[in-house]
Amino acid sequence: LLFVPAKEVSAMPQELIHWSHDYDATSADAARQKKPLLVDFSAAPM
Amino acid sequence: VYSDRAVADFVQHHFVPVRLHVKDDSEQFQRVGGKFNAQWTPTILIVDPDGAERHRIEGFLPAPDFASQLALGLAKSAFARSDFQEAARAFDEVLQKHPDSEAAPEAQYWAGVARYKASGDAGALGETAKRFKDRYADTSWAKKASVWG
Repeated sequence: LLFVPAKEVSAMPQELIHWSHDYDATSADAARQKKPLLVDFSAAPM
Repeated sequence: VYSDRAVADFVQHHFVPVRLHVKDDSEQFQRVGGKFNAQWTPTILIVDPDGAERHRIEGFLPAPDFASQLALGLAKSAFARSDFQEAARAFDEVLQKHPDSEAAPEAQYWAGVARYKASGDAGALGETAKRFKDRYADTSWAKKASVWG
């Protein structure tokens, strides 16, 4: 386990997006909702 | 940027978000990233449900700039599906909400094109060229619009 000091935890920004991680399912969902997809290719710590 | 409330609200309201992480979603990252030729992270795409890419953001942007690019991409998506009235409205919204952003002059250009496409009235292009004389005159978009005025 990694030890993360409390002050660093409190400083980490809280993401507010509810991400899917399934591109095909998201495409189908986007078609149903008639909305574009926002596809984020990321290497940031999750 | 996804911790910014305005960005998060805009994303949740207008898009269906999917994140593909280079390690945690490696199979999909390779497959979908290859399809869209994503060669760097972060790369953010606005993609229509039929799989057509409409807008691309490569590299980090601060929240206000990122928000303006999302709004621009949303307007481009409406334009691409030939919903020109909605596109004109959405490009105008970029100008109203993000007037000092790099997205603004591009939005001003495409707002004019969308109005022309919606109405068939070439006056919309001439009006746009005039607007570029008042604002964003030193941008490449002003040069592109200069043939209309």
